[in-house]
Amino acid sequence: MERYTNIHSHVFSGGCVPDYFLKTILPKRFHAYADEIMWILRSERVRSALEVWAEWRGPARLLRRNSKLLRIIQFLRVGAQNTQEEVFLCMKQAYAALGPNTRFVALTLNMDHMDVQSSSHARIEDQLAEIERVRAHYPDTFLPFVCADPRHKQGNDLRDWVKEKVERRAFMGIKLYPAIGYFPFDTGLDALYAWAEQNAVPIMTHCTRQGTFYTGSMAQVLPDPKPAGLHSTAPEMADIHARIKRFMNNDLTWDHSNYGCNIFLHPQNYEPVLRKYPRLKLCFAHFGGDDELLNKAQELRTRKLDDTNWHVEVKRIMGLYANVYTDISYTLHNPKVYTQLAGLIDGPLGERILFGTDCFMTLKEAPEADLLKRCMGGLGMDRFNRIAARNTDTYLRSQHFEPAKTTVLTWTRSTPTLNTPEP
Amino acid sequence: MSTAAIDNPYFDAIISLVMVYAFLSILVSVLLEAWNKRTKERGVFLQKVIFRLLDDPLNRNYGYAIYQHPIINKMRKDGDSYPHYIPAEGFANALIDTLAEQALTVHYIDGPDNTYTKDERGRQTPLAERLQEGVRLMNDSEFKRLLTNFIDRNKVALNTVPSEAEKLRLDLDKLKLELGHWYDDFMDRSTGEFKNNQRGKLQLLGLAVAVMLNVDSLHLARVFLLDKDLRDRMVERAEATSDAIVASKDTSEAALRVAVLRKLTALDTGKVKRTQADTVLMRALAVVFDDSTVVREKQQSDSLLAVLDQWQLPMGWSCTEAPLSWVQKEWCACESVPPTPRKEILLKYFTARNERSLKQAVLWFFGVLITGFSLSLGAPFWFDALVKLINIRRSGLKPKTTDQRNA
Repeated sequence: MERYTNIHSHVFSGGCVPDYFLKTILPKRFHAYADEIMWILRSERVRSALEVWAEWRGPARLLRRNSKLLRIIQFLRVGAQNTQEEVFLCMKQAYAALGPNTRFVALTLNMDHMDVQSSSHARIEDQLAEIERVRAHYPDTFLPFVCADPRHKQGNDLRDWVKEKVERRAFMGIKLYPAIGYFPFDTGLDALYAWAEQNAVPIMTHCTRQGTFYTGSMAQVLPDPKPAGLHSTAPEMADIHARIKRFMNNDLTWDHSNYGCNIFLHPQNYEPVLRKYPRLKLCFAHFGGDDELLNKAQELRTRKLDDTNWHVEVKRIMGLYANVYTDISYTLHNPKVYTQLAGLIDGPLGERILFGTDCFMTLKEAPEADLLKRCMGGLGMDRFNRIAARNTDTYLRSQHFEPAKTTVLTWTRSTPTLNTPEP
Repeated sequence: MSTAAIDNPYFDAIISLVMVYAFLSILVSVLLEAWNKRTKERGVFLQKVIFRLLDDPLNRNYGYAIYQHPIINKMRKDGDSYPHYIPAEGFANALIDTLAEQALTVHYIDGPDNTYTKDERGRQTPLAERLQEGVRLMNDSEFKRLLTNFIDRNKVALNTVPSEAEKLRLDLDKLKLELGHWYDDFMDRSTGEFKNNQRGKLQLLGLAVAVMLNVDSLHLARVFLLDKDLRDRMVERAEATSDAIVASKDTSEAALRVAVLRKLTALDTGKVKRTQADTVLMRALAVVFDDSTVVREKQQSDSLLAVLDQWQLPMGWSCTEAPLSWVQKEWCACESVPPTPRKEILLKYFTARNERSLKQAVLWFFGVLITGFSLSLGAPFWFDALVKLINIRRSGLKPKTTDQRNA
């Protein structure tokens, strides 16, 4: 029997989320009331009442159109769990049909630099310490990725920090989330890429125009229209700089930080990196997004933000570099994408398309079990087996982790290794 | 009624009014407590305070970490709530464990038969050693400095070890005690902060109770002046309340509330048939108290309203009394209540008040506003005021303040 892996999931609980996180979900005019709204929505009764209300015909139509409120409700419902372990168990329940051995790649997210405001949420080290405890409890099915952010640590510091975690197999790969305020070609990531390429350590990066973003002013993270890159002579840098300049000169994008995804996450930003590290194992999550896949990103084109179709761009880059992958997480919620996805899986890129759902972010679209069914039915079991078992294993395989091996739940307690002497 | 040194109708009317305020303030306190329980506010506040106390941006938010610790996590009733209270010892143990865990690492090493096995390094080292190592591994920060000082202060001489470098050993029990004191001190300061946060709610609730019970202070004062029987009844209850407060050994607000309520319930239960004057409030309370977590508060508010009903004070909503008497009868949907038999002077006053006029409306508005403001001062304030007034009334006895009684 195949052993399946969901390559893209999140388990962070409400405590990991900064106070200003709600800004990434709320329309800008409500940002000033984010704390109050969060306070109201923390109540389970309020959330239930809103959901009942959302089931009514009129309001439901209204809510589903922008789905902001439902997204907040669903997010808080799962995020209100005490621990990340409980969030993980919520997700695991939905995969009963695939057997108890189904594995989950949990992507951590460093939210400490999402804004300059102060917030007393769990720091990244707290999130990772807790994640390690979950991995200790479910070592064979819980495979976390450690998030890297050049504002947290840089260069060799960052590399060593990640290396220590990956080498002892506490984490299986690296997660990048540039939308929270950095470019993937940041020089601070250079040493990390070099080590990751050398060790075939998988990197997952968010790549759609939607999602969590830097909530502060764009001027704080984009001080210069020509940010330095780890490969400054790469020909793509001219295009990238021109796009950043256009973005900075556009009042709409400059004043609304939610448009930051367009500039920080653009697939072309990875080309200088891949030119320098062509064997880097990089996965563009979401396959550009369902809107791009169905070529529906009209809104952005009319605003003259960027005319590129990210789905096409991801496919182009996959064609150039053999270790570039993509996953269908979040995109899979849209039933219209399956015909196209099936063709792509059968095509030359098929071995590098991975199954993932983006749980629990997808809860606003459908329950996790329904998404799973929808995906298996939409693609057929043969294709599903390829993207959820074989392809994911190839992607996860590195110098430090062999997905074919099982991690057994037995303890080997070593002799004391602390430097301090025993009394 | 006891013999009074001061027998002045104005003074007695003031005492009666203060008695009403003291009594309704109890109701406001009970409502605030019920509201806090329903919104789990105390727990959320405590969590915020601990997150703030233990947040080290250069390392971790140890507040989050200790809330994950089984000692604290198991205190939560559900995913939506946080414990209202964390004992100092539990706090110290959870913090020490969390810091010590920083010295542990789990490796997943190659095992037999194509497996990985877990290898936890450092677990066998004594807790005190792990704690020191965990703190040593932290990035330099003010919080690390604080912890290092805590550890250094709680090292004791170990004479059995001959080596010069190993003369000091960390005394975990002493450290726990000091961490507990540090936590308690911080919590004491935070209690003041919590009370400040509550002030706004107290004002809102005070005003809500004043409106829902239609308590017009100006009207009450006037009636107390005009109605000797009512005034005497209220002074009698004020004296009983004052005695209950003075006799109470526990001077916390909750204990005083229980003592006063017990005394007044014993005085008044079963004397007068309950009316429907407090219907509006009762309906509102039914919503507030529709929760199993506020059973005690529900019982207390029921007793309070029962006692209040028996006092037959000129308050509550009725079609025959202002301000409802000012509107057209057809608009008024409530059942008509037969007017209470009153003395001529009172009848005159009530008749004038029940006539619609701008003056009466303005007076009613300010009367309710004064009540709302007075109730927001809180029960302890009115208990103190009542004790002082009763002491003055009783032959000028030197009044005792709460602080003096505490001492």
